Amino acid sequence: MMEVSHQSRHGENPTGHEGSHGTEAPFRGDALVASDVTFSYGSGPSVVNNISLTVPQGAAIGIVGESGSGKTTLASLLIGMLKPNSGTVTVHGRPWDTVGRRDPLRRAVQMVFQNPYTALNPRLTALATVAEVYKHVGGATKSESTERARDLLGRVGLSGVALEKLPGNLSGGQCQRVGIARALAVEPSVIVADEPTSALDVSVQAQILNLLNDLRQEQGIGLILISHDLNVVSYLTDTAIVMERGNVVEQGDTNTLLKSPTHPYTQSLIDSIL
Amino acid sequence: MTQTLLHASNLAIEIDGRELVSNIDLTIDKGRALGIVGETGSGKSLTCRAFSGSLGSIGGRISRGTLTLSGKDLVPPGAHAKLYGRAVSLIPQNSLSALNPLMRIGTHLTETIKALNADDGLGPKVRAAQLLDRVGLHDPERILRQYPHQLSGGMRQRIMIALAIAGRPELLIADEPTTALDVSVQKDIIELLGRLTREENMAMILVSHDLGVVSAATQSVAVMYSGMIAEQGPTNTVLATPRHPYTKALLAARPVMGHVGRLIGIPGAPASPDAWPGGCRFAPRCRFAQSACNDAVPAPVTINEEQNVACRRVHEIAALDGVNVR
Amino acid sequence: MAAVAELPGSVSVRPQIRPRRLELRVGIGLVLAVVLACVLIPILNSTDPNALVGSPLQPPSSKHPFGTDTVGRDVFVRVFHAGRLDIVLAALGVLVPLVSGTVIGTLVGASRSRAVDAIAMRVTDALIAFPFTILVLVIVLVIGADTQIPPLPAGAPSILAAVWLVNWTIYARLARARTHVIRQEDFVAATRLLGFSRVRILTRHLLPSVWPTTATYAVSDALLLVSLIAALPFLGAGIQPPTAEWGNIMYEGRGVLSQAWWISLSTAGVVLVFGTGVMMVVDSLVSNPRRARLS
Repeated sequence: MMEVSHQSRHGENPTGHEGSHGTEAPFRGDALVASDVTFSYGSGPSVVNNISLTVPQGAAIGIVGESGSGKTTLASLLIGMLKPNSGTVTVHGRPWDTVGRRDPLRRAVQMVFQNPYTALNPRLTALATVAEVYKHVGGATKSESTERARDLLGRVGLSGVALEKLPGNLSGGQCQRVGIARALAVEPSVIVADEPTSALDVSVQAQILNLLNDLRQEQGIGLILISHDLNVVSYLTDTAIVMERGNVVEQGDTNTLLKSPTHPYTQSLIDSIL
Repeated sequence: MTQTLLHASNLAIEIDGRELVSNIDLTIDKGRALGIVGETGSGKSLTCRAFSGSLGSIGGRISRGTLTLSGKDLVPPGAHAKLYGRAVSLIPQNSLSALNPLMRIGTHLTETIKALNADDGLGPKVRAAQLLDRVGLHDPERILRQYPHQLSGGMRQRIMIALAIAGRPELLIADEPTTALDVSVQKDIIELLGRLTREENMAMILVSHDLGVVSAATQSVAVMYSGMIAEQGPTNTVLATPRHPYTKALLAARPVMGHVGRLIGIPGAPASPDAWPGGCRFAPRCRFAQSACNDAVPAPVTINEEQNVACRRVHEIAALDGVNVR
Repeated sequence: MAAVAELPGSVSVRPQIRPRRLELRVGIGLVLAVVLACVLIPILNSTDPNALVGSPLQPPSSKHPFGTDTVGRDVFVRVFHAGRLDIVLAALGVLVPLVSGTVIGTLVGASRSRAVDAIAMRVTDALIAFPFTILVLVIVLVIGADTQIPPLPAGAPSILAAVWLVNWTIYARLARARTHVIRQEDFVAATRLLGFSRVRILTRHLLPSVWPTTATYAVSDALLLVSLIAALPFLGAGIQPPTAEWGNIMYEGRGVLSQAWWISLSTAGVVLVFGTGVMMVVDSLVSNPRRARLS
């Protein structure tokens, strides 16, 4: 069984700040707040329609929907990769368009992708991928960054010969672990996971879900989980929103939502589970 | 009265001299659906290719055992030549990219119908519209004129099914037909496949990693691991009372709504074919494994006259569950 | 409990890329054979390529394996001296555009500015549209056919100038197209989320995936360049005699093709071996037979 080991986070801070808990001291307030956000690609219909969402620090929120619901677009807006047509998305109080490329706040929100292979640079080994973050973002020396990378990868369950392998020679589950380690290396306050296990086998999925759960419980990292799989959402999240064609049709406590949904669309999603 | 349609006995498949699938014993009867469940590396897609005759294009061949369809021997390469589309048909794994983006749907269908001489005397276009109706696509006239990219994933999947049943095959093989589709669409596709198999008296093999799909769509199931069948039997029985440690672990690894506590994954990963152990292939990851498990590949044991389990310890393990099995 | 990593690797569904090995090896062998001959033969055989060693138009013999040419020089020695020049010119002529074109193309491809992209594309369109050979001739005219920059012989500087001026555009287009594809990948998005600098993303994440595309093209481009240089004497430009160059040897030999076929044909034969080897290398690198793996 894979477990993230309990190790002190002192001295782990990649940006070199000495926070007393090793965390980024300046980040306060709700991790992400979307206010009345609307987005459409070009002149087409709006894909995300007047959505407001608050993600408190350390929360685990699920975004549920089928294709065309706008959930992936909403995720892109939340991580600041897309600019909304109207409304704002703020990260720890600051709107995304005031956050520069190398601003520490930019790193507060990281992503875990659906396809574990394309999420990694095919020419960098697992160790190099994570070490690069420590070196380039954290300013650590080459040997320091390699050491820290090795340590972090060990904590997400990857060690030994796999560290020197390229993504093409790793399994889907291993690649996903590298992706998670890379995101963790900058000590984010929120991880946005877009269908993180739908490309993985069932037995591997369990390991990765446990890992994500442990990260949240042990390090207080928030989680925004985008998934069509209600079972996964129920396992990992406390609250959830259900999207249909760009609108939020229902939101609330995950268990309540799934046991006694109020909106017919939510009910139909539950009924469709085979 | 059920008749045996496809019979595989001690089947082995190799590619470039490496044996990747071994000891497959499977039987499918007319009008029935068999599910094949497995994860990456289980050999389920290769097995489908052997049944549908598409091993040649990836350099594979049946190296051992027998495979017959309604009595016809399917082992020699080229045996499928006249049968494909008429006796056995495959809906391939990546259906959504299997359609030619430059060809209209109508052309896809009429080409297939003409090639199989399957227009029932109605003319290819009429038959094409008929097929679309059969798979639940209304307004066939409009769809026939469209290109694949103009259709949704679910509609394209229905087109693939229409193409597969155009020649009225006796056996339909669907390889992951619902992956990449929305949940509501998945349900519709599964219902469609069920309806078609009943109405056309086809047999169906449905390959999936999704146990929910298999439980909804099939009457019997075979669970594959590392190129072998770990367990097979009636779907409801296998899923409700799995006897093979792998099946048990697989079922326990799924998150279920309302589940409390940690998920139990299966530690490690399947070995690559070059590193397959001499004995039971699941032993390195099995929590019930003993040293004797590594001596030889376990022979299937029949439980309660309906479940076949390839595990030496199946009776002991069942006893641990507090059940007595014969 | 063993960590995931220490168990044997799992079987996957990823397509494997395998160059056609035999073709690659034979191709490399042919190219190396010619290159080695060009390096060694002038060392082992001290005959001056421009010296008169016998009576003109002698057929191949043990003393002169490729015979003698119109003025009595040893063709064999000339061909391999010429090879040195042609291969070096081709390499130089390709290397500079490869590097400059790839870098420019990647920068343009990675740029988010529509203006940059539009300007770059129109510039390259204009240069590519211009007939290349005519451009070379114009530059030769401007610089002068006899200009030489030692150690390059007369005629070489103008060829290189023309090639460097124009050829980078093809690499730039290839690099731009490839960059457009790569920048959509998730791992590039991840670098932006992590706050990597633009320079780092360019050098560590974009360029390494672009090089294979442009470098593969460069190999066949080298061959095109050899043919171009060899064709120039027929147009009145090119490397000036008496410097031995494959093109001008064949040009001189063509006047006496009926009496002394060995001059042009032996040269052509060596060029053919070289060219075939190059194309085999390119073909084997470009084609990727994909085989479905166990799943």
